[in-house]
Amino acid sequence: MITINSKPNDYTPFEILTVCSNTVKGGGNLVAVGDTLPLLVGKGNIPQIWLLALADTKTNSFIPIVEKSISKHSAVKVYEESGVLNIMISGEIVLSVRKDSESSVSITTLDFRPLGLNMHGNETSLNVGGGTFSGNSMAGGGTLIGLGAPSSNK
Amino acid sequence: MTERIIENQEFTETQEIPDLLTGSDIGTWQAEYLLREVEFERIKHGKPVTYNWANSITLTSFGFGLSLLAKGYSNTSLITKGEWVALAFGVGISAILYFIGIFLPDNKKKVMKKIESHFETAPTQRQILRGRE
Repeated sequence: MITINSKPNDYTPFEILTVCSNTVKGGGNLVAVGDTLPLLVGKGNIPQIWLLALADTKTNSFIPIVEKSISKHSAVKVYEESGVLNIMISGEIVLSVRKDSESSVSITTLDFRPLGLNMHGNETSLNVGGGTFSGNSMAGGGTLIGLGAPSSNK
Repeated sequence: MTERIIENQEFTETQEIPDLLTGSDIGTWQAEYLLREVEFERIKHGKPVTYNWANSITLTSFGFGLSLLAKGYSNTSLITKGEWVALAFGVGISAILYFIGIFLPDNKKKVMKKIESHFETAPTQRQILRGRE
């Protein structure tokens, strides 16, 4: 399982991760549930995505559905289209990632509701729970959004 | 739900979102068995007819046996030879019918085996539910 303290060996974060107009700098993460990181976007010729879905709401346990941009489930499709990596679940896009440069990457479409997370957004804003995030930035390599995330979130 | 708008801010700490989880998760499922009508009919009527006969005769013999038990409980000599023969005949006939049934084609068993092997081999998968608001 991917946690703040145990990330995959072949994961190298981008210096700048832009998520629906919000910027996470210094190799930080978008979201953490407890210490689990449901999404990782790592460097690669095409961005390397690790994506987890909530498997049990009682225990908040997650299962991997995409590992290193490879689908682990028949209902999940990962494909690249004109430089944008898309992840589709049951015919709907849950994530679109575009590599902007060697050090920066942008998430242009995000809809994690099928994965059990109340997050969705487009290029202009990110809706999380009852809040809308736009144009914010997170420095220091931490995690932008969390639920019960430990304070040491680097 | 009140909408909070957080714009153009510089964070250094994680933004805690209490309602981050939608409350839905992904369950497990297994491919269902596609039961065709002909298979349903086979389950319903596919057992060799000898089984039905054997069952009827067994039950009748059992009933007859109980009445013999009542009759001969205190003194077995009250049961006549003919009654013993009838009981043995009933038990014998049903045993033979069961035995014949084993060698007759049993369509119910075939379908049941097919269903059983389906559920043994069909992979269990995670199902992605639509977690819309």
